[in-house]
Amino acid sequence: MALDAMSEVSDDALLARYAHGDREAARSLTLRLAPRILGHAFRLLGDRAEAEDVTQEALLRLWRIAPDWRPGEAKVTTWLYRVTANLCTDRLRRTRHALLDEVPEIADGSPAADQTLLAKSRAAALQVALAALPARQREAVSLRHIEGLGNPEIAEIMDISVEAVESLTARGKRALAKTLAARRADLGFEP
Amino acid sequence: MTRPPDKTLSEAELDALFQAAEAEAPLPSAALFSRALSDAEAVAAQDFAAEPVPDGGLAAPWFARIKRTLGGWSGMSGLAGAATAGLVIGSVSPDMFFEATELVFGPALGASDYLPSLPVVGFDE
Repeated sequence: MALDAMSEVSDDALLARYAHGDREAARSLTLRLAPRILGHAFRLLGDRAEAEDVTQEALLRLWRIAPDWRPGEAKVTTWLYRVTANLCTDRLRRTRHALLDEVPEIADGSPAADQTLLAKSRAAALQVALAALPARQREAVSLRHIEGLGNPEIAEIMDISVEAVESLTARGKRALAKTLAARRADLGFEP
Repeated sequence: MTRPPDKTLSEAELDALFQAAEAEAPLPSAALFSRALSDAEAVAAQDFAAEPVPDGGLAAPWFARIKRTLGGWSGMSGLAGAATAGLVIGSVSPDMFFEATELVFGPALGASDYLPSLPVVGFDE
């Protein structure tokens, strides 16, 4: 059986089914949406445990709003990314933690490693650099370049104009490129 | 002569980092899935598990909201009961009575389903 037997069904339709007591719909939505929420929350918070808590809370809010959801007015994912960002902002205000908890050691330079180690090193270095960005730049860069969303949807999530999204991502990328240039060799790029 | 190191990463190098971050994104644990589904069950059981699926599969949010506001089906029954009592003692107009009962039981019932026939309560026809 497919991991998500309802993969052809839209998020809206699954939410409506859940609101009418279809347990399988809740399972499909969780399988589909939890990884995206968790990934985004982790990049905003830098802490896996906190990101899991945020994911659970964001989904709980989705379950509660299900009976009142109006299909076609907003995308479920847009709404969820916005809720996730708000939950992360609240947590960051309460506890100013390092954003670096999960960053593993960079692999030593030996046989410039295996691609998996290299990918881990690059992801970890990027997480460190993302953590140093202003929160709004971090959110915009993560949504645009890692989650792969379009600028209009990011504008809706962040409640700003498309031009403002472009400005945030451009400034964020410039800062990342500058910060990470010093580690070019560690990251497997030509010096 | 060696060239000085670049002061920034190139666009392609930055893209490689973004791709690595996407590939290495954390996956939800089994415990997280379990907690999220438990929440879904609890919310459904508390708020809207007993709602029938209408034709076409779309929700009737106004009905769900009224039912939740009144505390579920028991609250809806209470509303119908209160309307019946109100009609009997004269504090609820027949129009209000039928609106309330139709909300709960549907439109199939008429006045004769709720009131005793007039001769039984001692009136002449």
